[in-house]
Amino acid sequence: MRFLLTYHSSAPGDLSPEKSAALQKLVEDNMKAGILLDTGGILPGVKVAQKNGEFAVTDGPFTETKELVVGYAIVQVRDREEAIEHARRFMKIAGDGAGEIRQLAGPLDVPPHH
Amino acid sequence: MATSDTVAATIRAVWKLESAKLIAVLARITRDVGLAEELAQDALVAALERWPRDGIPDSPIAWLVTVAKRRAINATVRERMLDRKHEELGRDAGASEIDVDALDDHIGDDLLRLIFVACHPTLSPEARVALTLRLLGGLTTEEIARAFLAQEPAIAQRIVRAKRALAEAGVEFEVPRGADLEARLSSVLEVIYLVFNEGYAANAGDDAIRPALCEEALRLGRVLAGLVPGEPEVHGLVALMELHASRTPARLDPAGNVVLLLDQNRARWDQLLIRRGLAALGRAEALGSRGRYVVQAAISACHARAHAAADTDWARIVALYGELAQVMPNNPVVELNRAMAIAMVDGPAAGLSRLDALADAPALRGYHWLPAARADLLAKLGRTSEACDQLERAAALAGSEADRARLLARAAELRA
Repeated sequence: MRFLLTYHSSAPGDLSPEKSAALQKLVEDNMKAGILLDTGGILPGVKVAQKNGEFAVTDGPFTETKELVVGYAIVQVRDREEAIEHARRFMKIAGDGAGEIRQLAGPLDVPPHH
Repeated sequence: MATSDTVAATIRAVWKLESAKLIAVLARITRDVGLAEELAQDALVAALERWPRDGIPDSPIAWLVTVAKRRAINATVRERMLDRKHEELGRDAGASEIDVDALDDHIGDDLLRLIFVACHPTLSPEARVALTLRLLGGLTTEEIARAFLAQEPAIAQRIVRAKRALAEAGVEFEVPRGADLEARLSSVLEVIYLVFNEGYAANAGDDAIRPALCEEALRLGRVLAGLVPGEPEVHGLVALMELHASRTPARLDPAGNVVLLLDQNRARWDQLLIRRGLAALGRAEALGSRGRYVVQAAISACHARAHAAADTDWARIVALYGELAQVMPNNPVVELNRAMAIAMVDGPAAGLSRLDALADAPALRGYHWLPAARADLLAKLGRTSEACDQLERAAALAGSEADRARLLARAAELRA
């Protein structure tokens, strides 16, 4: 199963060298364990929408949002509990924040019944 | 404060993530995989008792190792081990607190030893597969049975016998070196690829654990590549599996029938796995020597790089099949695929004469892809009636109803 983990923080980039080194080690360990498929930071962007056929772009920053999505990880795990455990380990290092865990329709999920 | 449900879920997840490492450390100390597994289970039980009360430790693996080692030196266990093992055990378990960094340093070596033991050539391939999934994949006997469409008691027996066979053969809990390494490594790669292919052969409607075998094989392959980064064939196998797995979303049509590679909707190929596969192939190729997995991955990569089937670099594929035929000599399946690649470059007649030379290969007797391939080339040459004969022959040999139906439908289409 493949999951997308996102991390939302109100203080992005506020990482001590120790935290940064610990996160780097976590990423390396999970890469070596064959679990972490991809990870990276997310920078502020724009919002787009279409309403009644009208396409619109809204520039950031989104002042109404206290916490920005600042990073993501795509993991291959056996179940949701494992994905949650990875989020727990990440946040233990990264610090307070919030996150979302969403299952992605991965290539090796059960072929649908027909 | 975490609720007890959350803690229980954490413990289950920690077990899945860490059980292989825990068993590996304990197997080095006890030199007995069966005993190591029991001790690991005991440590899990201790975690189930203690963590809900004391909280989840900072390093779950270090906690589990510490507890398991402490238990390893209790009297009952001591009785079961030889004196030599005692000394080692005493020395190793002397420190009551584990240094997490030191644990990190040797855990990789322990894991590698465990992989080599579970995939030891003294065991049959089936036994190696079952033991590997149990010890390194953390699968239960029941899950392995479901994954391999086997009965649980049969798998349980297989695992018990495998452990006994390892003990009787006096298998060293060591990473092989020198000339031994190559043979032992190829035994490991064979096991991982067997697991992958079993998952790849899953059909629509199968238990979810079957396709999950592909992920398990990929995970094991990536772990191995991290442990022996200097071995090109390991990266080659990882590349091959990542690239094959990338195509699974396009492999079946909405009715559940197999879609052949050149007919697949490439927009459905998984770009993340393709990227990883090409990167693994790059690492393999940078290391120099090219064995069967590296060359097969290189062929697979030619398809992955072509955004449309018509863009495929067939000349390169023909050259790679020539190389593959050198490292896998007298392999009729390789020759069949080589003939089909030649047909794409030099025309169907050239491919057909290659296939004709294979008609008597004993290994291909009963292999429905041979008449199916001939039919394909005969049809391209306008020899419709012969093509239909071959399709009917292929249909008679096909293993699955879906393949049979597809071949007969193609014959009907040609006749129309």
